Amino acid sequence: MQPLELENMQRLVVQGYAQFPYAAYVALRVASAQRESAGGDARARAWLAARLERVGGAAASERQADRLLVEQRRAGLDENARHKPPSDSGNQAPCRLALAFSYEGLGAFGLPTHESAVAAGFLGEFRSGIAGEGHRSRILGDSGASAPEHWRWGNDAQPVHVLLMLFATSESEREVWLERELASLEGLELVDEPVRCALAADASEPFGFRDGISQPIVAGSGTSKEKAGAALDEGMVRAGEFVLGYPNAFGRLPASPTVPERSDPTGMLPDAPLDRSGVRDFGRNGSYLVVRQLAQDVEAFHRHSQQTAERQPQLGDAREIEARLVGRRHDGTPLAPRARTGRPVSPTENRFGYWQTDREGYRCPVGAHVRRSNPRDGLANPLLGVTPARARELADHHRILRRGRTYQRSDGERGLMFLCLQANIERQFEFVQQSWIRGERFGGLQGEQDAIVGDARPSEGADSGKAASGEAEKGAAFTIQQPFAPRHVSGLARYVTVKAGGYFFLPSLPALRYLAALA
Amino acid sequence: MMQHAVTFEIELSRDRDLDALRGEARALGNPAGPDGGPPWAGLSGLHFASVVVISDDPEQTYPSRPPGPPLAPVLVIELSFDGDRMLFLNRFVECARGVLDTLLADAPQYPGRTASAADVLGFLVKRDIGADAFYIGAPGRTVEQIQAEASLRAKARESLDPDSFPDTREAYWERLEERLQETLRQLAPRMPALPARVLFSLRFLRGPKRIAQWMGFVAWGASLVAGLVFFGDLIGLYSLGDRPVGGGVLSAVGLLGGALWIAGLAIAGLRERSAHVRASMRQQLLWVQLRQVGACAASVAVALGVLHALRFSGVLGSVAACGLALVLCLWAMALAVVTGTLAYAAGGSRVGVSVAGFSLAACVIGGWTASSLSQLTWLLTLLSLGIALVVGGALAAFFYALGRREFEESVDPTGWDVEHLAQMRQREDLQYQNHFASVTWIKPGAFRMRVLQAVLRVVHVAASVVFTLGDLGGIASIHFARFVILRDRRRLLFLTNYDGPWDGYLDDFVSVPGVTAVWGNSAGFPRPFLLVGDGARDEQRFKAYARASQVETLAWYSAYPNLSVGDVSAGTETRLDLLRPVERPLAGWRGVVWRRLMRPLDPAALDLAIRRL
Ligand code: HEM
Repeated sequence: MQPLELENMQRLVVQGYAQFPYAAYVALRVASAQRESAGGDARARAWLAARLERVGGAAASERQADRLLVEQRRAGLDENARHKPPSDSGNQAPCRLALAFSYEGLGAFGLPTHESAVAAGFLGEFRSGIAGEGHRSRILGDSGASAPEHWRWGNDAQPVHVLLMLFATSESEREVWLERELASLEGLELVDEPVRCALAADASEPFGFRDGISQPIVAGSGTSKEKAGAALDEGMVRAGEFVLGYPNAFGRLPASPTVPERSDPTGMLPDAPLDRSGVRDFGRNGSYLVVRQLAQDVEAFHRHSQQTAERQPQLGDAREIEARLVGRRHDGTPLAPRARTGRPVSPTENRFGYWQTDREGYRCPVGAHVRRSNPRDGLANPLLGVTPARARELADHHRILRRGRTYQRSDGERGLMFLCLQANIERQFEFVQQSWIRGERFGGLQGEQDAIVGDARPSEGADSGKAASGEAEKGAAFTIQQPFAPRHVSGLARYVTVKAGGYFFLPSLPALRYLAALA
Repeated sequence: MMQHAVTFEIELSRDRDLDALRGEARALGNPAGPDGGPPWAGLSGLHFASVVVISDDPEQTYPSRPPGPPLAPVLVIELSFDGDRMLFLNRFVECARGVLDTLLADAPQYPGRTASAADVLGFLVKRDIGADAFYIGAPGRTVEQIQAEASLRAKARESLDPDSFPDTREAYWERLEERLQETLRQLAPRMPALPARVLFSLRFLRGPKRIAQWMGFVAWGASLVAGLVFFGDLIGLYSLGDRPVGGGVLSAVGLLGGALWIAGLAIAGLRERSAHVRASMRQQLLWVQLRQVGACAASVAVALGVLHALRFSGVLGSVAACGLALVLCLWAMALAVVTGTLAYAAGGSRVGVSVAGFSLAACVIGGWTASSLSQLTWLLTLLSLGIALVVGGALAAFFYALGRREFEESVDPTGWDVEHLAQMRQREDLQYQNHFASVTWIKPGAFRMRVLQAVLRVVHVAASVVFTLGDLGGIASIHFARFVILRDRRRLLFLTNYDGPWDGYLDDFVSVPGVTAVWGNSAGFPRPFLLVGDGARDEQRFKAYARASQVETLAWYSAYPNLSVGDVSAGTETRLDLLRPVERPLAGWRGVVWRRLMRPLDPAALDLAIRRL
């Protein structure tokens, strides 16, 4: 198996920056005056060049160095200099950056996207953007309160060119570094107030569930999980599902954007694969990033489960009901029993399937969030000749690397800053969202969506406003499978609203250097 | 009642304003729901209908258009309907006259507004190009029946009650049946009896569904073997001046059938067990492959053994014949293993491997059988070797020619035209079902045309004989689909009415060899390997190609836009499960069959039936 060129990747591809619990996401745009000029904006490129040093790389040595740095930092902070302004520079700074570009952003920085050969190399969905087409909003469920016209950024009114992601070890450091960034936006303008995120100590998201447990294990990534998985002959996902330049689940190289050779005179970029001459591979070791700011109506969510528990005591208490909607308990313990062994499962357990132990959904409902967003082997169908192993293989065509964090605004709005990485947005993120999360027929269900993220239902306000008119009043339903006859949780409202979003490209480190050096 | 396909390809005059025409066709609605306006809504028995306009621009380079004179624009109307073609078309002309008059106003030879209905019908019938390959997801169900069964299922679901816990499942089911009596009585007249073929596949072949499909393959291969064997036999027998073979043929056919049945069941049993073993895909395929070929060879050998036992006289003779059969069987299996492994290693598909295995095994068995019966052993062995060489040589020559072409033909690069994409997606996902229309350029030359026609023939037969249970070789989301070679013989049209999102639908195509076998003959398609390999497996390029070849579906109608193929099948099964008490008793042998089909449900089946609701 081809080893991953970690030294050329941004760290976000292999790691969620867990040692840097405080993050800020800054949506930026190349200042309008410069945008028009054909070769892109030189000041913006200078801005980029100045940041390269602090963009986190994925190389093992760099990760190790950062781990030490973080430890030292913590120790140091405890002792004295809590409020000492961080004067360190370069990679000694306790802050790492990640950079992602929208399609217009790449053009604004000078990538020759006006050449059709360059443009055609980027995924169609990336080029037209998350909010640009009625059809896309329709399949993603971005309607009503979530419609792009209400977004803070990422829509037609507020396009974003660069997403600057800043990771810091403490809140104060994040603020200091964020301020510095905002003060040095040469050639760029701030689109909206930065989104500030923090990893909770118990890794819980606003609804109270532990998050960030299940991730696809990437073959060749060299992580401890990958090694353990390889030893156990566990299903792993090919690297090409998440990073360009490596074979994907079909054994092919994912489509990778190329640039003309003449734009890269010093040969920073690798050669394009196969028989394509005169071009260089801009995409290799890069990845596509989907970003969605998802506001969560925490109160309404808990109120609903409380009311349901009172009305339908057979379903258990409110926490029990919430756990069924998610498919894991609040502490993370999966509802689906682990295959074979009857041992109690630990909260972070992730080696389980659905088919052998819970195919009917009596333990973990078929429509639960984790079962929808990754059905594992649960969609096996012997009548169609789909064995459990094959079902898992098919499900693995639609995996995403989640890199989200919870955010909190000063006005009290809370939610999930959802980020995910993949090589093919249509087949991965969009498929998960459209066919699984919003799929009204997922796994034999009928007319329902994910209870957490689903959108085909009145939002809380509309619900109470509209009186006893059938559907609207009832809200959406969620089926809990049981022998003889299923039970239904009804009256679900829309608890998650999209506030911003975008499709971005997360270039490799060489591609970032190339962009910064474009003439 | 069975369903039929009509595809009108109507040439338009070259100076027709296509934009205006498209506008007129769009006015019919896409999607035009089940209670949409004319002409579809009034046409009972119509499942799906669509209208597309195909224009040709020689400047167009993607998907690769081979050079050639520009073609006149054509308008295509796709209809899938119940029952008799002419009866239906008569009603179609009646309902759609106004629409036809507008759309076809200046189509050459169109009889016009004032002409009689018969003239218009004549005009249309002449332009019906049917379908070169036609597939139906849930064959045999009429529109009315599908709708009635869906409402029965909905009612049944409503009647489920989590709070009444009876002692047994049977009691629970009985209560359910009681509650549904009224609904059933109302719906019964709208749910005609199913065609015997459909009932048969539903009731007998349901088990692991694939039994039916494997048996299809097995029977196909076995008939090939049998043919060759009897050919060899004949030569052997006549050269010896032995008695005629009529009786032997008959008994052999009977025995062969029995052996096939048993072998099919055995395979299915094995398959079911192996489904739970976590073997890798490659291993699984290989095992299925070997079992299939082995079982086929075994059954043929058994039949041969008995056949020979009939001919040889005396106990010793019979024992010798059985021994011979055993040897033959081992031989055939060994051969099958070798050829199967070789072909698999070479990247062939399951079908390809079967063919190779069967034909080799057939040659050898044929030769051996014949030779064992004659004294001219060496001669007949030589003969069978000769046959093997000729057949093998012909195959090799074919694949060499194919391989060279495949290597030389150019392929489109991956790439997306976002404007085209946006336009094509505009009307997608407005309801559960979707429509996809694609036009590709057939690679020039007679060779490609022959190959394409042969492949379409195979797909057509397989689709109507083998894949009758709702999935086409693993694609379980098609209601009605067709491939048609347009009259200009340069373009291939694909029309499909499918479930769910486009991307997921195309995902199903990726691993189906038939898709590459058909579309691999189109210019610019991802490079196939020996007809069925690679091709569509280049997933991203394949999807980009499919999108690039898409033409806008201007108007589209579905009689049940929010039912999936699975829903349609589940509706029928629910009805069969529930209908026992009310179905009119049939007399005679049909009654016996009917009662057999309607056998009471066992607890496991009841569980399934409840979950299916
Ligand atoms: C505010 C909205 C959301 C909340 C509160 C939420 C919450 C959760 C929680 C608590 C888990 C279980 C913890 C874990 O396995 O890591 C989870 C898993 C997951 N979620 Fe979400 N989620 C949200 C939105 C989404 C969206 C929009 C997607 C994708 C389109 C998604 C995809 C996933 C996936 C793929 C998993 C892992 C499932 C598995 O592998 O078992 N989630 N989510």
